[in-house]
This record gives sequence, C-alpha cells and structure tokens, in this order.
Amino acid sequence: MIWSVVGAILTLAGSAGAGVCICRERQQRIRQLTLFSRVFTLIAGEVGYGRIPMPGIFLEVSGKLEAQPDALGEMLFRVGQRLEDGSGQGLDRIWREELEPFLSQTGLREPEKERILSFPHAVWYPDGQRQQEAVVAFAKEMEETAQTARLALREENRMTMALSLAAGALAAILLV
Amino acid sequence: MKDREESVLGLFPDAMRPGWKNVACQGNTLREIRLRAQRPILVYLKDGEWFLDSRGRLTRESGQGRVSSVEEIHSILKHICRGSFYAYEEEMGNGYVSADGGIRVGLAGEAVRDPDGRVKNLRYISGLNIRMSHEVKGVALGLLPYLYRDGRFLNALIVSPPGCGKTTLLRDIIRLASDGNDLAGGQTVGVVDERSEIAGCHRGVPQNDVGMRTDVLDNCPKVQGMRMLLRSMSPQIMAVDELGTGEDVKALEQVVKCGCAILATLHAGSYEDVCRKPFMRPVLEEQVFCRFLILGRKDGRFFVSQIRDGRGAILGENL
Repeated sequence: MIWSVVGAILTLAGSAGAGVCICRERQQRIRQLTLFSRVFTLIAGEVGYGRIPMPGIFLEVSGKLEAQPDALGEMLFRVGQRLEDGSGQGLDRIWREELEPFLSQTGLREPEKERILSFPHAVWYPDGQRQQEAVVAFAKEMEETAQTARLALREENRMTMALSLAAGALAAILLV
Repeated sequence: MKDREESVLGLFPDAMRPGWKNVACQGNTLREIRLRAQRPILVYLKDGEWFLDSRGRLTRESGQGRVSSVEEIHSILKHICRGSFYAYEEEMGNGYVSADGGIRVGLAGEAVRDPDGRVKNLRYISGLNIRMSHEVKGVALGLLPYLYRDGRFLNALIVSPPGCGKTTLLRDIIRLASDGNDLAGGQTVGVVDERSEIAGCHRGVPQNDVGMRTDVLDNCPKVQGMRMLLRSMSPQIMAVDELGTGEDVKALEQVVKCGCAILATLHAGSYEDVCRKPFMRPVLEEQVFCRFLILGRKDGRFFVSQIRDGRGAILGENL
C-alpha cells in the first residue's frame, strides 16, 4: 500500500514538474521577445543617430548586450565581424547562418523566428529616417507580442498547472 | 591598408568575384570600371579601353563584351554600401559612394529632389563608375622650387581641364609639404576633401598618402570646412579641390587673411580661362595666388604646360 501511495505522489509531482517546465518556457519566450525588442530598439537608435552601416551597428549593439546572460550579444558580434571581414557575404546569408542555431534553442514560436530571420529584408531604405522607422516597427512588433504573451501568461499557466495536476491525478488513480 | 587587388575584389559580392578576378589583378594600371545597365562592361587600364567578356577576360572586341544588368548593378552597390543605403544617403545625393582603398564609385540614375529642388538622393541607379584614385608619388618634386620662397609655401592654384591629373598633383604637393622636403620642413596641412577625392578617406581614414602632418575634413562643403579647420586645427597650408563659386573664393580670402597659405585647384583650360571666370576676379586683382600651375595633356601624357606668377608672367613652360 505504502508503495502505491509513494508512486501516486511521485506521479503527481512529476506531472506538476512538467507543468512548471512548460510555464517556465513560456516565461523564457517573453524574456527573449523583450530582449529582441531591445536589440531592435538599439539598432534603430544607432541608425537614427549615428547613420553608421549595419556591420558597425551590430558590433556596437553587441557591446551593449554584454551584461545579458544570452549568447545574443556574441552572435551579433559575429554577424558584425563576418560582414566586415571582406569575404563578400551578404547580410541575408550571415544573419540566417548565425541566427538559426541561436533561435532553435529559444522558446520562440515559428512565426516569431521567421519574423526575426526576415530582418535583413527590412534593411534597404535609402534614407535614414525611414530605415529607422522600419527597425522601430520590428522592435514594436516584438514588444507587442511579448505584451500579449505576458497578459495571457497567468491564465495559461493556471490552466497548464491544473491540466498537468489533473493528468497526474488521473495517472495516479489508474496506477493505484 | 589593403592592396589594390584586394580593394577592387572587395567591391563585389562573393558570388561575383571569380568574374572580376582578372580585372582586379591589373593592380595599379586599373583606372576605371564602368557598368551601365544593358550595356557592355568597360574597363579602363593605363593603356586604354577594354571590354570584359563573360569569362572574366579582357578583350578589345566590343562584340564579346558582357552586358551588365540592373540587378548586377544593384547587387554591387548594395555590397559596397554594406547593405546600408541609409548610411550613404548624403554621398549618394552627391552622386557617389566612397569605398575602401581610395576607390570612389560614381552613380547614375534618377535624381530624388526635396521640395526646394535640391537633389537629396538617387533612385533607379543604372550606372556605376568605379574609379581608382591615382597616386603618383614624386610627381610634384620638380615643381617645388616654384612653390617655395625662403622656405615659405606660396599660395598656388592648379589649373587644368578635367582628367589631366590636377587632383593627383594636388595630392602629391600636399604630401611633400606635409612630410617636408629639400626646401622646407614639414608643415601642418588642412585638407577640405569635399568629394573624398584627395585623401580618399574611408570611415575617416585617408587611404591615400597625404602626409604625416595633414588633417583631412572629409565629405564637408569647402566653405564650411575651411572655417572649421582654421578654428580647430591651425593649418599652415589649406588645400581644397575644385573652386567653383564666389563663396569658395571669399572663404579662401579669409584663410589668407589668417596667415595661412593656400593650395587649390580649378577647372579651366588656360590662364586666360581663369581670368575670364567672374568669381576669380577679386583674387586675381589682389594677387592672392603667387603661382598658377597650368596642366595640359599631350600624346596621352600629362604635364605642366606653364607656371605663372601672381601677375601672370610665365616662370616656366613644359615641365
């Protein structure tokens, strides 16, 4: 009997743990969306103020992200370096090659990943003001997605925990 | 600093480089590359005009020349601007983009104008003129005795029709005055390089040798630039390219009043042409310039056809 109780408790704990993991992943997604929003805001600032080309902007912005625990700063530094090294590869290719492995490790959803990967297609404006506005639009979009996710987070987390606990309880009952 | 081959290849996206390797290999004999949409690509070397064929070889046969497309021109320009057209907005509005290695890329297309009618940018770009800066060190050595008196640099004006090497000569005089020479020690030279032709700056760093005591104000209007340099860098010699307006001349007079020597160039075919330009009258009457170096071209070679003093008297010919 005692083992059945222990088994039921462990099943419940396991399902609750899985629920917590899902909730944490959701929080991580919000944090990453906010981080990308910050990156695009910084890029827009450099476009507007410094009017320096993108490779220099990536190097500049990467320095400002050093305090972040993510490898995003390092990745931006590599993008900037590869654009500067004279190999002749374009931003589209380098951005995709560097970003894809990074994004695959994040909790971002596919449309969000695709949107971030499409950033080089937004860098073509011949005047600084419109270019800045285009990058700001990226930042806003990331922030709005993060905000929507933040608002839904509490409800989704509550449902996830309830479902995972219910699933654990059901499994425990069946096992007992 | 990159060598010429590396700089030329660096102008093209990686996928296009094999087709341009042979052109880049021409090194210092390469003068210009001209790409026009739906027209054959032209390459100008020291020995004249060549066509680029589809295998990247140079040929004199126009029928074998590869035709460039609008897409190719856009890809090259995008690469030169490092995918950031907005950063070159001002330069593009002036009809060119500066690249690494002292290379200047002239642009042809449709002008975009602001409400005041001023050209602010170009669109539908359909032509590129990739122009190598042409450094000939020592070309001005023989002229130095005419340019100095008792160790003092004399105000000089280089007069030449387009394409006769006035910027090349100006650059070498700047270098010799800045580094010092047999007639005088090195002097501080301020250069207002309105179109990045003299020093060929790339991100503020001169790609051409303009001497160790030279301060360059790149991509700055002449009048404003001369005032800025006077206030901030105390030059002993002020050098500017292509005087063209009364405002330029007024600013030059101010520079002279501050005790600074001047070295400038002017588009004209002869000394008489200079005298006929209304905006030059005040400086000619006041004999601001002590030396006029008139350049000419004979059998494809450039030379100084005349050197005149401030009153117009000929001091030397065919140098």
